[in-house]
Amino acid sequence: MLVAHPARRWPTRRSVGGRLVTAVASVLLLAACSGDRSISWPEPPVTRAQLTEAMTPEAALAIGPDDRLLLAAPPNTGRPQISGVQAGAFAVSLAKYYLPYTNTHWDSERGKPVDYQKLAVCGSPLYASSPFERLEIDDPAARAVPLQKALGPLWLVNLCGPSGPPQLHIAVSAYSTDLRLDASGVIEFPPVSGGDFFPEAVPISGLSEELPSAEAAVVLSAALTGRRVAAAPELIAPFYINESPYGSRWRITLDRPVRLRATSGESIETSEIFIRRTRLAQPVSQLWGPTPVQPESVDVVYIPQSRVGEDYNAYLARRAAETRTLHVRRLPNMPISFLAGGILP
Amino acid sequence: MSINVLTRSCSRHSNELIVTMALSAVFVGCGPNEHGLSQKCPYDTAGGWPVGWLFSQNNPASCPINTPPGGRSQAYSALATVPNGAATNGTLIFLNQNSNVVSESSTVFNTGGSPDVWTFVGRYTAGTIAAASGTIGQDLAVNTLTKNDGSDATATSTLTYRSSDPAAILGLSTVDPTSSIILTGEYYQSDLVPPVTFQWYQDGASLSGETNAQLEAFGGAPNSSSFYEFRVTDSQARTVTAGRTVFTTAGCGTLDECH
Repeated sequence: MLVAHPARRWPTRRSVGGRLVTAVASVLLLAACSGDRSISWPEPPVTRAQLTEAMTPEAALAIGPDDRLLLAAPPNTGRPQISGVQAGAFAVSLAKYYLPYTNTHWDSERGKPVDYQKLAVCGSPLYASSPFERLEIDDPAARAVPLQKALGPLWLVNLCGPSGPPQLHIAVSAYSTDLRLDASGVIEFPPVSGGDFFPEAVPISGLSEELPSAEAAVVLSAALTGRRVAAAPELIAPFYINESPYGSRWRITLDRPVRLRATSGESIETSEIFIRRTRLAQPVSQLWGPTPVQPESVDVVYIPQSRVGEDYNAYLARRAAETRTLHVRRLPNMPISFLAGGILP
Repeated sequence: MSINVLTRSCSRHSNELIVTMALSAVFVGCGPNEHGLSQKCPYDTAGGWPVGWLFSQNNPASCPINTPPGGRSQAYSALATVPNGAATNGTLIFLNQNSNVVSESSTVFNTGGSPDVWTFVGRYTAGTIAAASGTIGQDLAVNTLTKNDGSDATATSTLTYRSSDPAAILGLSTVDPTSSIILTGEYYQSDLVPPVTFQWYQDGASLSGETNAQLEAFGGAPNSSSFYEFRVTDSQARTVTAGRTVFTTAGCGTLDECH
């Protein structure tokens, strides 16, 4: 585990803004460490003053008129993508018309029945960029295969009932361009589909993990490091085998390097830190640093899908023949390996 | 789709509309349909989505919902739980009676934890339901879980599956010869008159003493499979098949290769 090093590098300026920053960070950290099982919803708003204090003047230009950060538009990956609005509509349809079939699981995970028919998107869906190049087998002219969807960019959607915190998190592949909503709002899946959704029920016990907003991540980062944030944050999806989509991390660029130290003794100096969600009531850090040496690629198994009308035994034979390992290259400047962090008490 | 719209549609007793509602898997309880069957409410408008078939099952042959013609599709959602988190790919494939692929849903995401819970969602298009005979065709759902090296995941897994289609299939899991799988039978037909009794069948034969909701099935010879059914009988001697599953044993050269 990494820890900020040294602790004396905490902010020393005690301006009004600084106190606000520290207060926000303290609330977040206390919530993470004290065993408080209440979910703060909606997330305490971050003010323009707090953001301005936490960011360099140049970066603060990204603060919009609504005091929210203007995040970068989804990058062109060479493959069509759905919008955040579309992802939200798909997520709502999934919750209303599909997940109720398996309600026992979701209700149990939440600890209370999910209000499937009353859910709506709350907050803006967040776009998590993929850290990987597209698969060598990917054909942009055809629908994305499930493996490509899992390795590609994601929309993270929160679904809330009429009141209260989110009841469901649903990650939607940005490559789910082959889905449609029928006239009733029900998702029409192609006969052969997959890799579009990753749902997760949010426990009412407070043991949930919530990704902070971009604004909260900026303020928290400044408070943790004593540095200013030099650019609008970018959300990066994790490698699907290691973590669920909700392990996405905000990449925070600092105006000066900070030295982080792992509990194992390893230390790194970096101008980029990463903030991910924290499981409340558990001592898991929100602060991560990139490992000094990043893998250039990851190995994943590609399994061809069946075809409508195909004889099953023939498919099994074809699957055995065509299943293979693919080496998926990491995009430049996109870390995929991290060291968990924290701060010295 | 709002509840009001659904209720209005119900009152028209339009077969086509009823079918459409079944496809969307939402239905508000209303009076008997044109077949004289009581329609069931699959969710409680007071909150929550309980469960239930869309229609009573006392005469499936006459109910087009229960025996959808070819081309009708059903929304489905299924879960597979992998206790040790070993799998990295999963598929749920629907086959017709000729073993041709009808539909597939694949899952690649996993929780990164243990156990992993895999979600499969999609549309299953019924093509070979034997409506004329009044019996439910033996379409199958085949679930496989695979490791990142391409080999079958040999962890015990449980697949639960629920559909508005009474030809619902609990699913299939592939295990190694030394593993077992817990099959959980569930029924959601609320017009059954209690008390009800359960009985498991293997390849059409009643399994002596297997009268609980759960059945532990053990792997057989490599590359072998068995067809399991879970039947529910109520106090009026009405019996429904509440679920089916195929249990396949992975092909392993030796037992050691399965681990």
